[in-house]
Amino acid sequence: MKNDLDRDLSLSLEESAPQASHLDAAHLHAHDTRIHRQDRTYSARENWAHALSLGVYRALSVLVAVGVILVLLWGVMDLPAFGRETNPVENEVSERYLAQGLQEGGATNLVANMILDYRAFDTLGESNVLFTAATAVLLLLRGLQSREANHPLASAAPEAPADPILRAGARALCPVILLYGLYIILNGHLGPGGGFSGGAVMGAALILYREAYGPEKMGRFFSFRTYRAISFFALAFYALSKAYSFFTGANHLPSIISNGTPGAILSAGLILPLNIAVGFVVCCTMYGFFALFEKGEI
Amino acid sequence: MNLQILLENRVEAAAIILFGIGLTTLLLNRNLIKKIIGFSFMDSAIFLFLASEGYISGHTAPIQDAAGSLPAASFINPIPAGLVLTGIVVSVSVTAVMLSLTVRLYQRFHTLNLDEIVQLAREANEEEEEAND
Amino acid sequence: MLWWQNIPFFSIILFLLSAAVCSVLPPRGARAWARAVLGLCLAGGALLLAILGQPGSASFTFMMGHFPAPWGNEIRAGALEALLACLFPGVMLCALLSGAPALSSGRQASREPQYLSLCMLLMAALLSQAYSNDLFTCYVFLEIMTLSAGALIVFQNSGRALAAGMRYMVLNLVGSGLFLLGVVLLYDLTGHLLMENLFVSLQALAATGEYHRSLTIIIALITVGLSIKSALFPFHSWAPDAYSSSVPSSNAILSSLVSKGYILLLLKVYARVFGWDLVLLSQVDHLLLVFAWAGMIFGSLAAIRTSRFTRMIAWSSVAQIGYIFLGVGLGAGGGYQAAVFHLLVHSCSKALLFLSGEELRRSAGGSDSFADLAGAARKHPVYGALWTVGAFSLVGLPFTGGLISKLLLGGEALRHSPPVAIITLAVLALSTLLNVLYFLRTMLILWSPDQGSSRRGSLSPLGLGACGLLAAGILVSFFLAQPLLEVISLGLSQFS
Repeated sequence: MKNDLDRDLSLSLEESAPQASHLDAAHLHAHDTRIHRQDRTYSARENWAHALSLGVYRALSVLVAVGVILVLLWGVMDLPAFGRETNPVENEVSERYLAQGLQEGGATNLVANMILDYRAFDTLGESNVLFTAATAVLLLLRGLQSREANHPLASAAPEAPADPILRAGARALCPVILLYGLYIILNGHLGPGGGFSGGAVMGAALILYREAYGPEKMGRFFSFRTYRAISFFALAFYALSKAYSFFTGANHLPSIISNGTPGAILSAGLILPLNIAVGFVVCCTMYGFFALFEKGEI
Repeated sequence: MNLQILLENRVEAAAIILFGIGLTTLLLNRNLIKKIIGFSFMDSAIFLFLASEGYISGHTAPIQDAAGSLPAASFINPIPAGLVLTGIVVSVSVTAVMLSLTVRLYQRFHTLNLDEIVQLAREANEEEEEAND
Repeated sequence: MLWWQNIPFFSIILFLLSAAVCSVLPPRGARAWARAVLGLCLAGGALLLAILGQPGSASFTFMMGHFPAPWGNEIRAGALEALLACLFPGVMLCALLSGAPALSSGRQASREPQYLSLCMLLMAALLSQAYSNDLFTCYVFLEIMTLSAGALIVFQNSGRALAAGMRYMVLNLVGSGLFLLGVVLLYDLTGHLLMENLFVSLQALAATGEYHRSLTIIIALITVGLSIKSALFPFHSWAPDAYSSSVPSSNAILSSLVSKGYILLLLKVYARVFGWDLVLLSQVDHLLLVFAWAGMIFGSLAAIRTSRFTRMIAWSSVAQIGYIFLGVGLGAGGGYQAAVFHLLVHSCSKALLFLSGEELRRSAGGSDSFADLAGAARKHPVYGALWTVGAFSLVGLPFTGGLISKLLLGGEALRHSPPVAIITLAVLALSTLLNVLYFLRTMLILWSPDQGSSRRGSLSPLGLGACGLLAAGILVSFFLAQPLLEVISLGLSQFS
């Protein structure tokens, strides 16, 4: 029933010119397109009323855009000036982050102090946004290819393993990229960096490896089970350790977590372990997005 | 109209213009991919706005040295930096979900035009109902 | 700090943790875990309500970490938050219990853990929305709500659900973008994200008349952003599809919980960040009133026109959201109170209509057209009766909470200027009339003598209990209206 519907609905894309890309055409050619439904309703050439409404629609869109921009600009003219020390945003809140962040949070990267210690609840929410998105993409794309043979991206992505140059390059680059990502994560509390950026870099290394050596080889050490386990343990560790820190903070209990010596690699209390946890989640999620989009399976 | 202020706040003004373009593209363009591009525009514009909010002329990035010897007054405001970081992650997540939804829609309806998709979905639903009867 | 003051923090963290746990458990385990966690948090919320709902009790704040409020994050709980901490897990539990068959049947079964994981994230986001004291925290959890609710729609694998999910996502992203821009501009003007500090700074700005223009734009941005997300007319175009295309539990959760989360946030921003005087100064309240009036009429008219059962319930949501926004537009004091009361009643009624409606549909062979539903209530008299209770509540008949909210709205309208009062009363009367029309028609169809074979489906005791609980909520909100209203007004007075 569903498949029949799919075929019925395959429109001739040459008619709806604006969207017809090479991918579309190639895909439709491969696809069984015996049952065509010449849909004239959406053809600007065939249906003058549609052409007119398209024109009006475009003009209105531009008008709306200009209107929104003008109103907002009118508001911007009213805002505090750019780059002044006396602006309202430079108040006691940011002052404390800058002046006492090192003693209170323990990290020399004062932004890391702010996001992982002072305002850690926001960041806990943020990593859960990523988890929500990963779950949603999983729900939408997992098993897509096995269920439906006409995966639109299947024809675009070649099945055969990539060429020797890519393999050689990946062999040389992957360890370096991984190491660099790890460095960014582990130094997140000492300098620019942290779990999100480092995790994204490490995810890139995994994606490169997969592209060079194919999903099968990747699957030997990174399967769906690995993905699930790493995400679960990292997120659970994040939630539990922050729960401990929130709980002790709010109830004014002594906490066993110490800040250590500023500048040392093992310092800044929970910030380093949290960066590692976030790094793992981000790395897995980035790789998972890629794998799901490519094949519908991690 | 005080254009002097607008000129001084040119970064904010640029951000606002980009926001307007992104918002309109997201709302009114019918192509799903362009909608997603519009969304990215919109969010990036907000990040640009935030970055310009926290900037103080002549100040540096908020990285202390180990002894804590740098004066607090030499740094820019760290709050917008943290907010932008959070925003970027949200934006990446939303983009991924939108793209995967687009893949599914294209696979089912073979078009990227949202109006057509809604129309086709409605027709498909009616046919299904008739088949049930 | 007293031990029970840890409940809000504990429930949020528990839901976040459960999201990770549910994603790795097998379907049966995930289901049991999710139900247990929801039950536990419902009990926690009830305990909190028993303590904070007492007259004269004070709200408290809870430091999320080692640093006090403007520097660290903070959550706050008062009488209203405690009430919502009972409502949200309760309705979610009912939706999951009653909607379980559709989740665990056939091909969907292996995806149930992910569905439950999203529900847990949604709950964490809703509770954070209710408790949080910080606008940026609200934004982060707002996005969790947007994404998880979108995923709940597309869980149903049909083309219609996918299309509805896309329309939902597009408009909701516009709403999030406008809200975020509003928050960022507010931060630019005041340097604060914490609600108390924002309120103080904004009052100072309003007194000097500085940044008046920007403030108006900010109020408009936040109002429009959250109105889009809660499907207020004329930003409702995504709602009827999104509320009626997916599995029954998703429909119930979206229409009765997610939209309420956004309205709640708007109410909080009005009451705790801007203050009603500033909203009046910006004239946005007129906008809300006009949209609410139009929505109340238009939503009901559209519900009359549709020929599908589920879509009719979805369209009636658009009208009911209009009622809630009417309360918000009528302003601080009685208006807010009526809005919150109707929010509670509508949450229970709409979930009940979707969930018991699904059982009726199933007895009619899963069809959604009115013709096939003739006599459905006679096959399942219990569900028919439950559905009727929900419909009575939305019409506003006696012995249901809907009557109280209409009386509150009408009474509050009388305290406004004559034009506002007259239009509001006229719109209320007309909308009620329209409600009677389409609910009466549906009820006549449902209870009409049965022509077909009297096929009786099996009754699941859990699903029936869940629907019964929602119906009990509707009745309780009528018979215990006075204490409920006292709790609400106590909670609202704790806002400032």
